[in-house]
Amino acid sequence: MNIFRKPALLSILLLLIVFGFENQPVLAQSSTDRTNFEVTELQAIIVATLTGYNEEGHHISRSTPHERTETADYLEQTFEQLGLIPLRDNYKMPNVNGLVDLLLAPYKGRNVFSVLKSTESSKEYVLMGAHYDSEPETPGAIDNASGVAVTFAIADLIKQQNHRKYNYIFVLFDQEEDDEVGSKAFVRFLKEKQYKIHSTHVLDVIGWGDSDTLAFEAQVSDDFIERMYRKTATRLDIPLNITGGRGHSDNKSFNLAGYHSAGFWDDNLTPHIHKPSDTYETVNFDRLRLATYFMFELLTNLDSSYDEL
Amino acid sequence: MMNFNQFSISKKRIEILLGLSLTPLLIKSINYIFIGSPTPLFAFMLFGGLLLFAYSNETKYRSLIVKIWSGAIIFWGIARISIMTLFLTTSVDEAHVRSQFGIWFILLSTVYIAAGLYLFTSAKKADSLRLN
Repeated sequence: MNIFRKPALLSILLLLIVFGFENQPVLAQSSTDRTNFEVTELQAIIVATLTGYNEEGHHISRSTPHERTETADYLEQTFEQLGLIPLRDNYKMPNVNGLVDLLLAPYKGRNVFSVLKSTESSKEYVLMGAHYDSEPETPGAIDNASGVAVTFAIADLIKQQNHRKYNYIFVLFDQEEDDEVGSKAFVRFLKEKQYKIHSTHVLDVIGWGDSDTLAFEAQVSDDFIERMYRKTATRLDIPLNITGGRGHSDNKSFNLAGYHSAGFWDDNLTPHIHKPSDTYETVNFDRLRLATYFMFELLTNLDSSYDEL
Repeated sequence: MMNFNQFSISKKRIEILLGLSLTPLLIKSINYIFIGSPTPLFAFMLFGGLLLFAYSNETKYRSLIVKIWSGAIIFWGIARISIMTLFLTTSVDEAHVRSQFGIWFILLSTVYIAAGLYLFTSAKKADSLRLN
């Protein structure tokens, strides 16, 4: 069919193109600009799928073993669709103390991850991740389907880079809502396999509020990683509050294991956190795009951060 | 009054029940030792060692050791059912714990309480036989 012979179709197509582009918020000039639209679409699909969002307002959680298994299967498929090889870290972990071990079964779960190799012969790995489970009976859109969506978008963007100085591990943790068990298991896995980790970056609770004015927060383990985040925020002119401490999310597991680690989230957390109202509709995708932009720039300019150290 | 034959059958039954009640603890110990928690193995070694001692010698402590083990497994069953009740009646939301509750959880806990009670009463009966 030649649409140029159908004026009505042609007009609709032109209108779609014009309005489609007009509605795309513009980010600061960067290498990610070209793919902004694709990032938002990908992220919207991922958040909608993870939260079970549909037009009837139906929602699902990712809390029970069955729900988490289904979610992990979907995440593996998504890695495949992005052209990355999905890998599994099936784990069992003890309970909080030995007496509880006598009474209950161990934690069981599955971390899903993919490794993107360096284009050089680097032995160092940069880890970026987010947890995929949610609190019981909550859809967990901002906590933390949005973090998963940002992780996938960054994996996709970095994969498209012609040059990668470091290896990257993109990991989606299970059971963060149960004392960060998934990331603790992944730390054990990294130690067993003797991965040489450059730094770890964990995303959690992103996507609430106004995209331009509200700050992000980076909880950092040490000066090394603090400067990395501070420099990126200054360069991109993105408001960022830097805090210390052991960690409020999966970054705690990496911090306690002695890695250079950071947790990255909204400074102003969603009021819907851990509630059934943490739904797809509350996610500001422009803010996710801003977080994606920040993390992409940070992870692909690690060496320039070194220069100032 | 229990005669000698009945006492022998009961003794055999107790020994089988002791072996069966120890088996899940052995399985748990193996599972947990591979993931870095030695507590179940310590518990198995402690109770397994005591019961082995009790049944490999004609010790006067046999009845006491069986009573201790039966008390331990009664406590184990009650503790599990209490945890389940606590979770089902309050708003504590630990998905990992909540997901374990089901028919198998209740059945195992109840069977252990029943086995504990049986072992305890049998040990008491054996005591009274010995005294008589």
